[in-house]
Amino acid sequence: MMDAQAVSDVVRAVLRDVLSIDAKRADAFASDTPLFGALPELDSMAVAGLLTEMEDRLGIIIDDDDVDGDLLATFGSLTDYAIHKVTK
Amino acid sequence: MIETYRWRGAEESILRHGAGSPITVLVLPALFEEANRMRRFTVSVMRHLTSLGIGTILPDLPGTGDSLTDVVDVTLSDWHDAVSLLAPNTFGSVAIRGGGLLDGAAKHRWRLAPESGERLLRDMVRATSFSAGTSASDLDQQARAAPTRLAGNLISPALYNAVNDTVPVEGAHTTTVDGPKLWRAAEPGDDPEYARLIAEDIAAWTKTCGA
Repeated sequence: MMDAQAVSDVVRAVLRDVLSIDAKRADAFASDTPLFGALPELDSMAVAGLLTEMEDRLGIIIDDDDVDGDLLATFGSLTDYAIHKVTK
Repeated sequence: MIETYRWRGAEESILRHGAGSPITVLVLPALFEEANRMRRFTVSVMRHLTSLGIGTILPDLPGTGDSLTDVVDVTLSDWHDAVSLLAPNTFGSVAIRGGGLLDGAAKHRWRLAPESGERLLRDMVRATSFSAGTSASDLDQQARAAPTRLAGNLISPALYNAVNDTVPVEGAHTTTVDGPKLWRAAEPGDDPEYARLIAEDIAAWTKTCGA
């Protein structure tokens, strides 16, 4: 079972890879860093790609009903969701 | 150089690079919204291939690019027909993402990040659901029964259902050259270094296939 830190690292890596942002910028993401609406790279197609990639790398299924602006509001909200999915 | 091919009495465009090269490969582009995001990169790879002595043709599949047919009037078998028309005159195919669903008629097959039809559509349904605030399962049900706009393309149920049930055929070389996932990028981009590496990988592959 992955611990919370490992899940958070995966989410960070997925954001970096899917959005093609440099490692320095991704490393600076904190739990209150805003994502959707704040990152120009994150449009709706990129959101879809992000979710798919998270599913693949974390071995989770993201329920489509869970996907809304709140989920993608901040790095922290996305990571918390992923940790919940992995550990439940 | 722009050429054309005839498909059901209509003319569709073909972009050709490296006319007169010893071999020519058929480029099968990414599908739907990803096609827009990959276009520059795809053409950039074609240019690099020319300098490596490999000619390329990139067709507008019916309903895509400058085609006079609307994509809503196109079925998956229409795309297969177009590929079957073009493939026999080429060494093999270079398929990007969803293009890998269409390369069955090619003699040799190279692919970049192929994907099942189901997963391609799932991304489009999710993207549309997220931007429109409609549930993804409702959108999926709707798309199975009526023409539905998904990530900018109006797609018929016939095309949606056929793509959903399709996976790439076996017997292809999928590149292991890693690079940015340009098909996900919000700003359609290019990556010259990656395009060069991909072209070199394709050139090496043609040699393993006996070119």
